[in-house]
Amino acid sequence: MSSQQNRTVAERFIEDVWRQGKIDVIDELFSADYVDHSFGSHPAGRDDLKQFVAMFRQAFHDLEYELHQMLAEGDDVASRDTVHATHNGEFMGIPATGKRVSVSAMHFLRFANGKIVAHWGITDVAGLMQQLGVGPGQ
Amino acid sequence: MASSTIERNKMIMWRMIDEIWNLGKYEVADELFAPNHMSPSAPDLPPGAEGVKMLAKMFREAMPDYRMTIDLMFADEQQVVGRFTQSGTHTGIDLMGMLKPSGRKATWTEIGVLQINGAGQIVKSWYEVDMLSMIQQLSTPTPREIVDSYYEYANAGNWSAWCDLFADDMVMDEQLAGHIEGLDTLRPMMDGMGDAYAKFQNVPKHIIVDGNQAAVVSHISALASSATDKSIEAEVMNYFRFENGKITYMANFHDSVPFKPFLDQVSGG
Repeated sequence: MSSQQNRTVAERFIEDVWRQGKIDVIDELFSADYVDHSFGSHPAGRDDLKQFVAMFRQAFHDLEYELHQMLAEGDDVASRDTVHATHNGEFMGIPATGKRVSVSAMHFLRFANGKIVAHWGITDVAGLMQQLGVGPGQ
Repeated sequence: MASSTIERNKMIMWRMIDEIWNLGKYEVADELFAPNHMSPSAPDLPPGAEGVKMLAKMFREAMPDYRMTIDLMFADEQQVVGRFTQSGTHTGIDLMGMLKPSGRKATWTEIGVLQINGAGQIVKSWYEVDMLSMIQQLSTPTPREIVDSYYEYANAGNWSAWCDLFADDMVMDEQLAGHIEGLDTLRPMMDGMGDAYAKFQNVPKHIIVDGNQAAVVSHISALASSATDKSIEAEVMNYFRFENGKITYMANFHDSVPFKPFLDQVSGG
């Protein structure tokens, strides 16, 4: 698989799953033994990712996924993005605030045989918490 | 031509990390960063090379063993992206004006993108740092610190602070008191400690910490309030498990015979 094809899969994850909410497309794009390294210290799998996307989309409405940059080389795709959304549902124990938030993040995806096999991501969680009024120094 | 530009871009990121961050050669920033460089991720930092110099200097002075390694890096003609792991022990200056040096060690990750111009200078940079994890590690007491506090508070008779060392869902198997579940159960039990003993000293002799577990051999010298003429002397062993800076499980083991004056008092004998 070329890095261009990997990039197309990464773009489908953003378009189909995040923007359109088609959670089941994850099964098509991610391998069964997918490992997510961005859920704290515990590696998570494909079902955890599905749950997270569903939970996030339930808590945050009118989601705009802004992709700033995407680079692909060999088996890897890296991207930088900002998600804009309205906090209309409970999120990690924080009741809906109705606030419009912008969350920046960067991601690395590893591919094998045209599917995503691993993900390392860092999200500005501290910035999100601050916008929701529960961050450090609030 | 294209591939040599890509290699050049990778070399710029590699030099930034190795020379500026790992070796503290701050003057290299003047060579790598364009005078109009700015970082949208940290808009408050000064433009040009000064921003990265300030940041690298702060971390390196806060953590003398500071180290950044590149986990993965790749580039195209205009930009280079990398995934990094950083670590350090906070023994130096304050970090970010909010973290006092604690002697604690942290390991955290970062992803960064550098945009590079035709002259081979960094004009824009974006960073996403797992600050939450770093702050958490630097502000959470280590198992050794908790063990030291456990004996310090007990010997000071500060049972309220001692109880604070335990997690809400703690479990304890105490030789004399039995099986205790939950801090809400433990706290009222400990309220009576000050009245039950005229003297209570528990002095650690050997402390072993292994990851999230610890074992301590200590010696208790105590006097029950109603029998201050009969001294209690006992060798004790404690076993601890910790999670997120709190004691989640503790068991202690000792001969009960030396505690007879205390037990007689409890049973009204």
